Amino acid sequence: MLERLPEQPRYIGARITRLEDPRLVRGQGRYIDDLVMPGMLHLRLLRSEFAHARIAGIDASMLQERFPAAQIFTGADIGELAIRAAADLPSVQKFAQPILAQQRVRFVGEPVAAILLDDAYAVEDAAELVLVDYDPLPVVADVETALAPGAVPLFEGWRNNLFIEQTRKGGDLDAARAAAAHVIRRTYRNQRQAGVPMEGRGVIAMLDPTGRILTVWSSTQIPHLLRTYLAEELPWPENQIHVIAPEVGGGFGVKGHIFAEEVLVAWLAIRTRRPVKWIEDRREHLIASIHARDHVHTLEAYVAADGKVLGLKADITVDVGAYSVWPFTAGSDPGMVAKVLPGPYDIQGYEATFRGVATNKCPIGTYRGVGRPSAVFSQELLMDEIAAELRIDPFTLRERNLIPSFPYKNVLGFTYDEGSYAESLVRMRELLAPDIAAARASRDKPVRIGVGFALFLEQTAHGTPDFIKRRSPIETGYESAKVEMHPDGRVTVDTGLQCHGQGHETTLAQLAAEQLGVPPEDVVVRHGNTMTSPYSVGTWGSRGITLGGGAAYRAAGMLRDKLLSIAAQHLQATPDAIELADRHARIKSDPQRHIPIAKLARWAQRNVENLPAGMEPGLHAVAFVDGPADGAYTNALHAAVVEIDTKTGAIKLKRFVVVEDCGTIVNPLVVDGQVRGGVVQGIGSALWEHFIYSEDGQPLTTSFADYLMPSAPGLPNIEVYHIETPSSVTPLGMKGLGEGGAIGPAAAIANAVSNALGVPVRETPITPYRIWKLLQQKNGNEGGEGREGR
Amino acid sequence: MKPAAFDYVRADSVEHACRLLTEAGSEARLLAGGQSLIPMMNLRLARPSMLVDIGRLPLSGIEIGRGRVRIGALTRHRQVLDDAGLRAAASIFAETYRYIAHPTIRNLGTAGGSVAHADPTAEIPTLLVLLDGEIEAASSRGQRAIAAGEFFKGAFTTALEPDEIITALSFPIPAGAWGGCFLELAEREGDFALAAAGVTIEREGDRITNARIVLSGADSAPVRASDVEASLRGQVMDEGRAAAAGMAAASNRQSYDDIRASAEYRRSLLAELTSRALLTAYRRAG
Amino acid sequence: MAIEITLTVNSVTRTLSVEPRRLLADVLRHEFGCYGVHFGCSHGACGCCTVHVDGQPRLSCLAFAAQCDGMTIVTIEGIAKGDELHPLQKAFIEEHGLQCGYCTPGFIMAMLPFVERGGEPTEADIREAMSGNICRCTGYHGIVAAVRRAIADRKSAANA
Repeated sequence: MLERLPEQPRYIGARITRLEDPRLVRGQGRYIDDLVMPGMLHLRLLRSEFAHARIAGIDASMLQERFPAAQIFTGADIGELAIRAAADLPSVQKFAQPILAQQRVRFVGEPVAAILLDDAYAVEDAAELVLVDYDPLPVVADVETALAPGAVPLFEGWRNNLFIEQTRKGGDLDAARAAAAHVIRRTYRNQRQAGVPMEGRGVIAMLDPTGRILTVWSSTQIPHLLRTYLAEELPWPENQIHVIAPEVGGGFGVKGHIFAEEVLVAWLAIRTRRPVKWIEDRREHLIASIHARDHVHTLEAYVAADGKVLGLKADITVDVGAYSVWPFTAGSDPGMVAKVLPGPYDIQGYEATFRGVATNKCPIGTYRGVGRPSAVFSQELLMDEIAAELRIDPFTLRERNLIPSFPYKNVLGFTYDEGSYAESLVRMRELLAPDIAAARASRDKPVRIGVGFALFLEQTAHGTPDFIKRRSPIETGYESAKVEMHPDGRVTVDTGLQCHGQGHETTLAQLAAEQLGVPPEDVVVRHGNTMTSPYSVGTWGSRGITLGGGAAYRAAGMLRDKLLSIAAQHLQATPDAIELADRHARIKSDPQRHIPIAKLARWAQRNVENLPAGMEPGLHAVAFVDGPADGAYTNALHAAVVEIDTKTGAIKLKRFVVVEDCGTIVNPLVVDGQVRGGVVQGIGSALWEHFIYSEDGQPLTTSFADYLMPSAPGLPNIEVYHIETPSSVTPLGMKGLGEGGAIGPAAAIANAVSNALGVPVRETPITPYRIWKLLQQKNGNEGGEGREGR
Repeated sequence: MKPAAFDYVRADSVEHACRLLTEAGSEARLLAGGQSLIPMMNLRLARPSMLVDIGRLPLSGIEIGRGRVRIGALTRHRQVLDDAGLRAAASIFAETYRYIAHPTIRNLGTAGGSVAHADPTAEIPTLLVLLDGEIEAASSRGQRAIAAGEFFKGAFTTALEPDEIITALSFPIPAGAWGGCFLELAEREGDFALAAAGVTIEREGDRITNARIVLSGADSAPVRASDVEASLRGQVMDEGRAAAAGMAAASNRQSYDDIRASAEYRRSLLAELTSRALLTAYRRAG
Repeated sequence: MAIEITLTVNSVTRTLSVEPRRLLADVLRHEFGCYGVHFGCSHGACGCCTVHVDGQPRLSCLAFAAQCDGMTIVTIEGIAKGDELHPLQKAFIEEHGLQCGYCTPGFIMAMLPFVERGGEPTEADIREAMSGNICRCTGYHGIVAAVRRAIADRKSAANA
């Protein structure tokens, strides 16, 4: 029985300032690098300087001479320890990533040797003295080289350089093709990016004095998965491992993986019997954590005369780098594109072939939005190109193609719950009217205005059935919470979620407070510690509030029932005549008859003679929520207004508007923050962020001087409008929203630039140089075949 | 990302600093604001065995008089931006300094430091060449003044000897009506420039009596478009002339390709920025 | 080669012996317990490590402690008055100017002088003033709002 929103919620929907903020604004948060253990050794990794090479030898003699106290470990010492990330699907080829390179390195930055010393500065001096002799091998620097006929596979025993290649289809594509009046075929590209939370990765591991209990602190989004992985891989008894995520300075999915470095630090702590600490620096983060995007899609749409897209065929290639990441695997990005391309449109025939290609680059992992930003980019640019070719207004084209009613089963068999797609289009048309007029008036002027938008949906809060289908190491979609009320009436919520900025300490407190009749300040939400947090797959995939929040609400509801029963006996009424509010249980029709909730709580644990006959003592409950089988679908419409100086290519983002629907909102402050934060990351994808490799696989953008992220001056205020269409398949009608902001901007901005220039943009990032090139080509000039980063 | 070890000495006078440089040789570096040097040291791209800290020497201050502006080498960018007298005498300084890095870095970065570092996309070298400036340098061997046009030899390469310290920068203020304009395009505010153009125009009535055009991004050091400057003397500026001058200034420049943009784009950008700067400088001189 | 320096950090003066290469940020964190000073990039591009040195914002990853001998340093830990948060800290909470909190101390320290200067800054002025600080979580919206609010709050407190 799914919970429904109370008639007059007290705390759900309230714009409450965050409970986690007072410590953070004082600098009292303790992140991984702030933790210091006596006797700690600092780990410095020696990383590969070659994109592809055999390791001919490692010479540590100078190290041992100048730093006799230093310890060094290489692949020879580590044995078989590896990151094993493969989906159990027929086309998948497998290769486990060794924790330290074994004989071969396959991307610049791959860990080769571990050097330990008791000082963070000296350990860098020490690591520099280790000499690695590399025999360079031919570099597979891009997809073309990887897939060229006769290309040597990067992994022994592989047929080719494909981690995965598969086709999924639905409906009747042949019928669509036959009935089409137009066939429109286009290719779209997104660049490689890095995720870049402001805090990089870090791990500390330590054995207790008995040598039995292993404690691992990691700046991670998935503490339980790390614990289980370590138990299986090291191996170590799982009931003797504790994993703690301290304050985590941003994740965005980057920290939702298990890294070789985490397994390594644990192993080193066991091996050396000393606490071991590893903190990555910014260069390591940029070249060797995970990358994102790097997609090429070719779409072919079969379109009726009125613009209805009857069928869609897609070919999807992702340059996934050198290894498959755990748990989402190398198939994650390409597979997700194939899954979500139909989008919010009523397409009846569909076929998508997707592949993940191995190259000598940093592995691609899941970064905010995962495959969806690239999918929506292709989907929405194609829609605008169809509109242009058929001379149909872009809004009208979307309206003509929208799914007609809910629930809707799409061509791949996914059922969409209720959304507000049509309403959002109407709203956005009004909001953009002045800018559309300005854009028209600026045609043929040296400074042009352009307006573009992107409509999309986002599958969130995926349930277990969705993960089972993927057959990857992430098998389950449930989330759980334990809620406990203490004898003084205060509450602890132990959530499986790991919070790294999403405000769960506040939103889950609001949800528990709603049930328990105490203010949110009386609720402490604990997370990220496997000793107290119930088992969870962690925080990612826009699952937190729906599943974790739902579980907290449900568990608090179980406590609520118990409190009402205890109060009922005392107040001599039935439970349904009583409400919990303002820290009291009181008769609804006669509030003078009340009893403090704290008293009930004390009875339940100390003066149990006051409990109704047959009632067990205690005041805690555990609840589980699994996501809907097909997830819950959030819808959003993003629009951008750009101003382009056609003489220089300079582009200014004048306006960005979001109309979004994530169902029931628990805290509008938090939701707006998530949307805006995601949008700005999406803007970064559209305009500035580009991780570039040279032709021989050398990373070229290895600092913030070259890898450019959005800063405040280049951005407008992001306007956010909400529609609330509660889901019928989730607790309280909540839907996920953490990633949505990042999904639409590249598409909206590209469509806006195309509108301004009168030339289609099909690739990001959209830099001044690229704008200039497009205009040169449009004007028929020999334009810009200069050598610049790809 | 921790720097390699070095010896550290705080210089208590310019003479002391010079002596230390002479003794230590090329392995010693001067530490002023540190905003360019310390990032390189943290990345271990620079590993001096000695740092001579000159940050507290009395080398800061802005003097304006006798037709000349003199800026002490340790004058922080922020001080230059805030100086009302300088804004009145040469507003192009405030306009240019806005492009330098970010506010916090501008609290520490110094005029001399930027000039000695000679990043090819840096603004102050371009400005100094534009304004016909001079770099004053001291060493154990004495003092000298080096013309800005001869000072910047290439990327991160100057005419400074390894044992010399920049003590001040100076430039003349044109006597008559003049205006300046500096325009830069970077991908984000404060980033390294894709290209930049600085222009000064002196006028009598409508006629240009003197024009100076300096380009950044045309080569590995700031470049003066002397031919174009000459062709503008005696002329009246209008849009067509500005556009033609811009194109002429940018044509045949080698420039460079990099991960951000091609040489061809940079040339096109320089033509446009120069043209716009010419028009604005001309208007400001009126 | 260790040298002796004296630093006054959040009103506490200590003399200590440091290697010249020790960054001010590391000394503040480990020698003075100011773990609110954060490393984001170590090359001056993100602003996370911003502190005040002799009254001015400075990147503590681009300063050697040795350079700061005799100087007065204030970190995020030093701007509240006991339980009473600085108006800018309060404004960050009110306006949701933070999510993960990692960049927050750097932003607050960088923007404090701007807030104290008051006046009537435009949106562009505020954004320009924070151009050296990178936030990955908030998209800057809440931070701009916090700065505006803090300036307004100080004005009304002054007029009260």
